[in-house]
Amino acid sequence: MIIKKDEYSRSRELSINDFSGGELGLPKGACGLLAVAGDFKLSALLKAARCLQYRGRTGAGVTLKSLYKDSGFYNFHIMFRSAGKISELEQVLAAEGLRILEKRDMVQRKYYYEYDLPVIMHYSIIPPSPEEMMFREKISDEGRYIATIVSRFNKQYIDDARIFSSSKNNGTFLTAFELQDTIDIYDLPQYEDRFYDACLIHLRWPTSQGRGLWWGPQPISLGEVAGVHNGHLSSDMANARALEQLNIMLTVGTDSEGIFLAVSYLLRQGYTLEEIEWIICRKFPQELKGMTEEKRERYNELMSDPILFRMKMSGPATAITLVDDVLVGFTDRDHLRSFSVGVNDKIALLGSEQRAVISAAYFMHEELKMFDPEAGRIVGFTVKNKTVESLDYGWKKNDK
Amino acid sequence: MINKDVVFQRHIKYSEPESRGIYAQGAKYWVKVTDEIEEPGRGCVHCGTCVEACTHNLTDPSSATGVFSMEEICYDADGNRVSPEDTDGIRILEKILWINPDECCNCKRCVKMCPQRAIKVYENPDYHDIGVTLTGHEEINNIISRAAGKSTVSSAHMGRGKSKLYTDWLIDAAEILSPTRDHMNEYAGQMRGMTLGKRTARFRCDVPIMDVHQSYGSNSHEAVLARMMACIKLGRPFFTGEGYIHPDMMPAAGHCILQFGSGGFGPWVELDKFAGFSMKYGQDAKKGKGGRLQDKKNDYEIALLRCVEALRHLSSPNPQHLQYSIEELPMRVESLRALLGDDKLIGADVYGTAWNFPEICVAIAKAGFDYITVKAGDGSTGAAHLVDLQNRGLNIVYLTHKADLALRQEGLREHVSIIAEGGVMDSFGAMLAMLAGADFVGLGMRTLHVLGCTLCQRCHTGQCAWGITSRKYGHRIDPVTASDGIVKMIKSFHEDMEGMAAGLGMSNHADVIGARRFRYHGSDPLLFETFGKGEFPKQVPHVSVKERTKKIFKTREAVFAENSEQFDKILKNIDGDSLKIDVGFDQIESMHLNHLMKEASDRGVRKFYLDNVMGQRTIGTGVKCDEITVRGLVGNHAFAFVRDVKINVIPNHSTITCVPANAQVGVANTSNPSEINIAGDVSDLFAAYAISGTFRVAKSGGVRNLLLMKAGLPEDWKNIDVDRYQGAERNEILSELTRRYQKRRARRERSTWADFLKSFEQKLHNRKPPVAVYGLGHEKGMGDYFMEYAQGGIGIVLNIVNREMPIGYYVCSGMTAGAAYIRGNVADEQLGVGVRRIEYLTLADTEFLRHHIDGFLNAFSGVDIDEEYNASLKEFRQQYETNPERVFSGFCKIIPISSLAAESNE
Repeated sequence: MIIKKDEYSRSRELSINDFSGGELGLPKGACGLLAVAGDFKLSALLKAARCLQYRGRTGAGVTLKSLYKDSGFYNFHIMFRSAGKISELEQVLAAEGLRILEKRDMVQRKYYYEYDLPVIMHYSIIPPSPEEMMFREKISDEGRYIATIVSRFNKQYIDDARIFSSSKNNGTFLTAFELQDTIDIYDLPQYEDRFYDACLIHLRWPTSQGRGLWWGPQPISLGEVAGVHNGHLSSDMANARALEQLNIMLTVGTDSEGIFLAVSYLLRQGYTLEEIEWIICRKFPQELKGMTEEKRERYNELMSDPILFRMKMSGPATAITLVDDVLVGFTDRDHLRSFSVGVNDKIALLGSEQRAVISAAYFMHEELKMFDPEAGRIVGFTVKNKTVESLDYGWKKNDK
Repeated sequence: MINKDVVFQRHIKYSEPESRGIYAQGAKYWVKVTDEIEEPGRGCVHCGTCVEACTHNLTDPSSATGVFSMEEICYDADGNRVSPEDTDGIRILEKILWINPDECCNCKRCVKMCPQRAIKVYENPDYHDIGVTLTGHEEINNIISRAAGKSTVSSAHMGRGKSKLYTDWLIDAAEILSPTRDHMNEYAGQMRGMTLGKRTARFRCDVPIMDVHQSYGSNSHEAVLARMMACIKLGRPFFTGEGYIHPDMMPAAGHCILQFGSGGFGPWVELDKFAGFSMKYGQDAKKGKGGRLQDKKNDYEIALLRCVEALRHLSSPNPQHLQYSIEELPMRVESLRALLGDDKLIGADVYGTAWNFPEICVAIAKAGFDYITVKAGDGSTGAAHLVDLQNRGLNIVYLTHKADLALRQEGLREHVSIIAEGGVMDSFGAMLAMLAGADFVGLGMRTLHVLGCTLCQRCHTGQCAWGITSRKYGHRIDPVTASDGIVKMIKSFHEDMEGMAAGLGMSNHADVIGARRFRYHGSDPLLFETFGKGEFPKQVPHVSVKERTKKIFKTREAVFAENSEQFDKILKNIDGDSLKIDVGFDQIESMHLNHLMKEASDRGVRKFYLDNVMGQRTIGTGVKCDEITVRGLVGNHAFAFVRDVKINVIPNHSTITCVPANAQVGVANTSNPSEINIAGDVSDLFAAYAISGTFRVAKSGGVRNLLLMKAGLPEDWKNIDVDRYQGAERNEILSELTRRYQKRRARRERSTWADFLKSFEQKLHNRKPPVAVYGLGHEKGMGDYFMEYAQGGIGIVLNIVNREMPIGYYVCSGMTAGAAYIRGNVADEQLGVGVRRIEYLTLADTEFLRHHIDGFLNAFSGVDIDEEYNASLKEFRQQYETNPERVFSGFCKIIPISSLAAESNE
């Protein structure tokens, strides 16, 4: 490979390769996961997640649900490859009808000297009026409008910026380093006593440098959807095609993102948890025999939909997805990744290793009922105002 | 005694074709034997050498003859047939050399052995001259073979077109701008005294050309021994392949790097005697697939080595199950490092994937491997499907360059050695690969030519006439002289390379690696783009130096130095031969705990009590002790490779959060414990590759428990003693190898091959298979793929909680030997591929179960697991004690459908 001389910058700005993956493509994710919903302390969770650090070193992220719930605006966390791009890209947001109410630097200056960091800013954003949204994008729903714009922005400006948190309620914090670095850089202890009722933590295994360092870390968040996944799907193209044909575009481009967007699509379409399990994890053909006639018919009906049929997740995966107030987790049917759940009436803990779940419980001083869900089984919870509720198989999301 | 008046009549005849019509493909090669009339003085004398030489017979593999057979007919003076015993009556003796060219594969053994040079073998035009350029004989015959239902397995190269290394490359020479050097009389061009491995673990090599992994079993005993002795003579490691090595070869263990293939074959004992481990992740010749040894090649002796049942097909699964993706590589290396220590090599064998190869190399380096073996396109194999053989991989020079560049950018190039192999044909190709960035190259096929290989593509049939890939004919190779031949060939290539290096003005190995002093001027766009243009930067613009300081690379010594205060405090608690370590949940990390245990073991500790454990990994691996008790949760890959140790895991109820006695992924893999009792659940891949011992799990197991379980540890491996050869002189090892071989050969000469093999049968029966007993819990049943690919061993699911569906799907799928006893319903659709269910138990079965149920109840009745479980266990115990027959009647037994009856792949 001939390396162009200008690809690496001598300033503190990140190179395009470091930031976006440039022409080399995008990274795949494969990592350690821990999620919790309910009434808990962030510090205990972060401490527990450290035991997963050995599974990943180049990327650590945290999503805190309901962190911004009282703000009333959309909260964008944007990373800019260089400071010089900020004003230009702010204009891009404005041109899409988004009003920037307020902006601030999320990272203390000293960290920019210590790490190779993009410029990371927090924006308070107000979407256009319903009429204007209709005029611009033929979309009346605020959330959908934001997701569309963020998605388009991330794809178009992949070389220069990434909106990695765009929720009205939740905040996502990412770095391409280790968990302790993420904690320090964003000063996460400052949120310790703030309100939050769920959290996703992800520790990413390093793939080659220069392959989209800043586009690999998870949780991947778009609007009110956030998710973490470990493994490397061999079905990534099939999954991406299914979403493409639903006009749901990947913004980060990893195999993982496809899962989260599929889960959010299916949940919002009103499929039951069991149906989502069927579609994404699938059953062994032999298992159909043990199903009731009614269920088998429904199963076959869903499988005959060519788009849903392509949403099956193949290859190693444990995935935990947060969609609005719903937290779901599952593994691939072949169980090439482990997955553990611990619940009591206060919290639900989901992790990619028993150790992480029990450690979290230990640091929180909680007694839990612990189990490893069977291969390809979905588990779901709702969490509202720190109250967590386990969902049964037939539960479906009803937004109306 | 034949009367001297006997008249000899000699004839050469061809046998009838086997079939006629569309599917009659006829002879691929034509065998012509010249008679005296055609070429006086050079004609066939009917000596029968060719009859003995030819071993190829696919139609009738059990036949004593191949292409040639000799018929003798006796007549009296009147021309009437008489019995050969009637020596007085015989007047005419007719000798007919029958030739069946249909069986010929062009191995040329007969041609080279014929004392009269009377045999010619050449392409049969009737087979080869069909079709047109685009669709020639290869395509048409392929179609006919498939339509006739023939196997698509082949071996060696496909030989479709020339290698990309063949033409259009130019290795430079120095001229005017810098001087060339003289490697003969000066210090120049020298490639000696290199090391494989660049960190603590290193193997000193005197030549830059390595052998490649070829397994014992695919190669005959003699072929392996010849290659091994050549390696010792040349001063380079011997790569074993995934068939382990023969106990007779153990004196050379210090020169051997064991390959851990996805089948995990072998006893996995005395591992500290070896030079290292190679993890096989891929091979270009069978992309994405594991190896396969056919039942007939898995003879009694092989089964002893591989610790499996004999005469069953042996399939290595496609993935390496203990690491499904790159994030799990460090965990695997951690486990192997704990096993082998810092001074043994750990390597990764990978094939060059189409797009993400640099990523894979970097991941391997970051995970802590010492070397990467790049298996490029044009590599060959002992058995693979045609489609994989035809699917030629990327060029070795290109892949080597990609790996080199990726590792340089990551700052890890001087942490990891690269061996490039696959399609290196000679010193020129070897030099190209090294100039592109390889530290070493591998030559596999070339080594076999020295033993006689003429690429007849019959490795997979076990009929190799040269005795390379056929064990039965292995004695046709003399390992000592054959190894000398290999040494001479390699030294000749080595000298070429030193000459080329000197011609470039270079003085040593380091000057050559990655020097890029060559040019591609051919038509391949990828190669031209990469190597055809003059300018390329000398350095990558940015290197992340920090990567090298990661703790994954820290040695035991360094860890001790950094934590001496904490470690000393813990080690002060040693009480006689026991030590209690309070892990304090997160206070001691996995490798630290492992190092501590090793240090304690070195100081005489035999019993460990580990308290407040919370998911620490690699517990017990590489630690020599008698007993380990763990209170708490056992982390991934704990108890891997343990031997003769009793392990108990018990729950920890001492805090608000109860820490269950569970075990995470891959626990007790590849182990030979005396017993392991886990008073909780185990996750996926528990006791995978386990060779011997008793495993008891109070509750359930996850997916793929007892995967590839083996059939027990033979006595030979239990009592092996090769300590005195550790660090011994080369000559001492070589003469011991020769002595042991002569003993073996003498034993073999005294009997037939079949009887020789038969002598190992009793040893197979004397093995004690591993047994795993699961109680099942209320949380979940036994996972899918239970005992997948098992090659022996017994799994028992007691189902003490009386689950209606005790187990998942694909039960015992691909199992070739061993059995599972499951209490409760197992539906037909839950059974895996190739197994069947038996609903009744014999008396021997119930006795066996009784023994193990008693053992299970003894192990767990005194342990407080949790209320619900304790109650169930009590209930089960009562039921078992009052009415054992009722318990036994609930079992079914799952066994493989005999693979002896399985259709052969020929």
